[in-house]
Amino acid sequence: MTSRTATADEHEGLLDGEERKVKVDLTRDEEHAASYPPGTFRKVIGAIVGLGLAIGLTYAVPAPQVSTAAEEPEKGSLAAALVACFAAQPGLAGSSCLHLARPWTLATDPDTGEYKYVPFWNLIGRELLGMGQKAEVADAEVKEAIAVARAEAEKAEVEEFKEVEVRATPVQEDEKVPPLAPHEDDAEPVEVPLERPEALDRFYAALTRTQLGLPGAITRAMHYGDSAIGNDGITGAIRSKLQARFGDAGHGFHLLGQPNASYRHQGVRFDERSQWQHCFIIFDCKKDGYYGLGGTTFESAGGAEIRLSTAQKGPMGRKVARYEVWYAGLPKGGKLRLKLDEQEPVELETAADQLEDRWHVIETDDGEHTLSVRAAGGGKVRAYGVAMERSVPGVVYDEMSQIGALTRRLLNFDAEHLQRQLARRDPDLLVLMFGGNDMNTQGTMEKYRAEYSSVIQLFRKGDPQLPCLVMAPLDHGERDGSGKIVTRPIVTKLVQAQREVAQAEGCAFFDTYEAMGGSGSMGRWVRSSPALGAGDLSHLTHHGHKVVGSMLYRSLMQGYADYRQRIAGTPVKALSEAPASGSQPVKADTPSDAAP
Amino acid sequence: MLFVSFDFLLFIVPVLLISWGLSHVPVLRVLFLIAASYFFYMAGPETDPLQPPWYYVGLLLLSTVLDYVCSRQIWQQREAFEGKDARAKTAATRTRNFWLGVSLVGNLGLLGYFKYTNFFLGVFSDVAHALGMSVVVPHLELLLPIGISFYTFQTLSYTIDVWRGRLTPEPNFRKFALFVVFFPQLVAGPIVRAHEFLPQLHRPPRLSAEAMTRGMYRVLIGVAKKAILGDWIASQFTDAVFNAPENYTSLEILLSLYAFTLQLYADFSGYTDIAIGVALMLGFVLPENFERPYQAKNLGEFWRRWHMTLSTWLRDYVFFPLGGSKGSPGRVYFNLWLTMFLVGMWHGASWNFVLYSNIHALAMVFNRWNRLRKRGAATAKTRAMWVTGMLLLFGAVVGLSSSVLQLGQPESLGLAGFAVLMFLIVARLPETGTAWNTALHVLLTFHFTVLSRVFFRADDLDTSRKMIAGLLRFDAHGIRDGLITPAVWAVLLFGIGYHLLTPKGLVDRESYAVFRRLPGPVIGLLLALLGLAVHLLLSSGPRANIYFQF
Repeated sequence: MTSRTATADEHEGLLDGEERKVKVDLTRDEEHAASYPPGTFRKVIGAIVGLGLAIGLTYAVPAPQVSTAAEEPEKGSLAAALVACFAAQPGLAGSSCLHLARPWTLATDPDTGEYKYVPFWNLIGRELLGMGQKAEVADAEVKEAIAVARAEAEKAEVEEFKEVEVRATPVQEDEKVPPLAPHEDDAEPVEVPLERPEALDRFYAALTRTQLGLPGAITRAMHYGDSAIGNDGITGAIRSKLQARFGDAGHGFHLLGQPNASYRHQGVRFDERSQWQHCFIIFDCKKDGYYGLGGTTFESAGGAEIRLSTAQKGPMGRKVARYEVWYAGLPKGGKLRLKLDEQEPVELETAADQLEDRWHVIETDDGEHTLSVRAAGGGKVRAYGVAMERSVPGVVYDEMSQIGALTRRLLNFDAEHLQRQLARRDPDLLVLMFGGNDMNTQGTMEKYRAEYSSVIQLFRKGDPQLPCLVMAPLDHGERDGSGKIVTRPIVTKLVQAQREVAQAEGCAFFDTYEAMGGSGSMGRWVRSSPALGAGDLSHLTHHGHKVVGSMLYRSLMQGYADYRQRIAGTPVKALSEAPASGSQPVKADTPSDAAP
Repeated sequence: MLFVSFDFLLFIVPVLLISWGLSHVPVLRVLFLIAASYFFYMAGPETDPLQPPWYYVGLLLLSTVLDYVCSRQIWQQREAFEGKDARAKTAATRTRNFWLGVSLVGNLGLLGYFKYTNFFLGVFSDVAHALGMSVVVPHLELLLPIGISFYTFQTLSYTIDVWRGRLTPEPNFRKFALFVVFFPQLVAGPIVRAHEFLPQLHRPPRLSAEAMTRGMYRVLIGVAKKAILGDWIASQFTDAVFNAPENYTSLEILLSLYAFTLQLYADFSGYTDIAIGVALMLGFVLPENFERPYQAKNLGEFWRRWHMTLSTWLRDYVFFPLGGSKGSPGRVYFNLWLTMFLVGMWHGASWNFVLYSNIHALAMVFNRWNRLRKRGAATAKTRAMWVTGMLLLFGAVVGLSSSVLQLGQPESLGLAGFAVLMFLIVARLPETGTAWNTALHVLLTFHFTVLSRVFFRADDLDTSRKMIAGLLRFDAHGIRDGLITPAVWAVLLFGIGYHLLTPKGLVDRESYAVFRRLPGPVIGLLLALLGLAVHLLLSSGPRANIYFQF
């Protein structure tokens, strides 16, 4: 049936040999009934019987008489349930634990009432049991998110944001706020609108001033959160959108070093040449509570150095005109050496009678720069970070991630110190996104609400009217007994608790969890292509960051459009009459002085 | 349907029993296996995102009918084509080429539409942007039919072989249909050629106790590889790093590449083991797909050992028809590059795979040049050529790194320096020599495959860039405590050590000798324990084979 006209020798590489020609004749048919020796199937039938008996045994043994996880394996992993069961029922009684290992049960999903596992799902579940429609809706939601991710990825190719034109003429007495000009972003659908957007009116007023190009109209937002905003992912996405629309007024606040391996900001090149000793607020390592604006102090007796440079690629962080170094005066304090580009360095004496907050401003031309901050000896120095801004109207969006932080860890701040730090920064919006780590702790929702309220009150102590936005945590998934990724039960409780806190404190609220698609959304995001959710079922990929950032941006802009509609025709001067944030006096300050 | 699943157990036991029962009635046996294969194709599990609905099986049927008809039409012209009447011969040639064209356009058209349309639209958009034009291209919501890259190549090779006169067309449609849809190899290979499979349907099934035992052995090994070395490592470590590389240190990123290299091999070769094992128990022999690829001494050898049925397919249907190793050196290098480029691009439609394909294709070109070049005393001219060559390589890598990957200047320079260093080491290393020399060649080849996997696994260019930037950061954070459990370490080291160091023949022979002495019920118990282990380790359930998406 087969003949070979030429064969190749054993050759080393795939494409080294000669062509091997085979001729096959399929016209001859030797097909006839098989004959096989006795015993051909003995072993394989034995194996099938053995396998069948082993599986059958899991159904034959009675259910174990133990509590919690062992009784309800779907609430935890099978391994944990088996371990708990065998521990509770030692010896022969433990054989009933095999009941938990049944490969197929008729368990149903409490949310949907559908079977958790249907064999041959694509035919039986999807077509015969009609489970396909719901799955297709969930699938469509993910596709929508993926479409956003793709669109965002394409938009990132912009090299530079358009500058906002600064008004040359002063605002006239009778000048009215014009209606909001149509913008392409406002045509995009909003997944979940903000709850109580009117709580952000002062922020929207600042945005309006910025958009009108009033001189010095910089809108500042500060976004505190846990690892959900680490790497400047979500915050970078929001910053990018806001700056593209309202102008780039600079990168904002950056810590003086890396409190953890994943601290990295978009639009800033930084090089910690010699490491600072840092103390991160979540470890409660400074009993004085002076952690600086970013929640981490950096100390060195000499040698530690960081260099912060403007970005060379992408639209963000390309220019800076004003550096503000945040540091502390302290007894026996040493010197802090600041060097801008190739200019002569400036040395700051940090010695003081007592611990106090200080700032030093370096103003320069609006362009590409590198600032080096170095502990220059003479004693220990303590510093917090650098704020990088420009002098043009625009938005500054600070990423203030507190990786691994429970919400209550922010209460480790000394209240007056934080008040001074915030007053100096003078934000127009405070965003809080915590909860990811609180999901792993024991405690009641009542206690949690009280903690979260305390944090908001602490941050608004110096400026009770500071607009605040509570951003709910991301969906957090876990695997159930049947293998599906489901939402952890605590997620919805925590989201509800935060919603109530936001309402009680007069903050706006963004339901991130619902915007992602609600129940089971993390599972769908993890399995999408490109993946939007990370493998730990708690975090997002960079694509996911862009999608969530974009969702929040659109919700914020919906609120902004409504605000502009409300105030259209009112005097522009009234915009400035909103109570100014940061109006509290700065108690311990050194005068801001320009660099040579 | 996934092999490592309870669904498959519910499916395969009755299929085996009925197939054995029908082995005395060949017609019914073939019809039954066709029906079982279609059911296997349509009855997959619930996945996120959803897999194509059952009616996508129509494409499979279309491909079957298309090539059955085309091959018969081609064969009908044989007498005229081989005759002496010039006019009849010309007409026959035209008709034969027409039907070959129908098959090529039909098969490659389907593959191209479902797999490459969005990529080409994206390329068009990227090129337009690069030229300063503002173009909005649609993104089609296409579902890739499972296994289309495999069954398309299979049916295509059949028609081409008939056209070449190396195969007579299968006279029996049901046998041809079974060749196309035979479920063990339908969705992820091995890619079976007609001359390997169809003759098996023209003789009685080869059922024997030895085939049954060997089949069970391959299934057992395959499940262990796929579930533990493949899926489990991915769920414990690799996926997390590739999903957010910016969260990981340089060493952790490097380790994830080793882990993925092991995972990919275990995933695919484990799947192949199960396919071959199941086929054996049904009375069929499928070709091998892997031969300890990570023990290859150079890249040419690696591709002879990795996914052998794909690489040899492209060798036989692209490289040789282009002229193979015959012709001018330039032509041979072009043939080589094109073949390996297509091998790479077969895996996926994205810029990542364009880079991956070119890296491997150019490395294959280098591999051939390095083996065939004259090694003699260096002259001023050769030194100058080497220096120029190295400068060109350095410049090209810097250019690509900074433009395509958008790496920063230090990273681009670092990557270019590394490329030049590797080039020089491989070029200066003697081809043969001591065991140490062989070990060094194996290690270098292994690491080339490990590092190039960045582009294979990353979702997009941005992720690849982050992975490479993370690697080149050379941060001093090491591997953070608690990130990798001792169990994952143990499995990783065992897996890499096993596949890198142990001789396949010896290991397989010895372990099989032990296995075949086990009584049937004990094997059944072993399978049950393995199933339980999979259930315990993979709470999310086994994943689809990585090659499903191709």
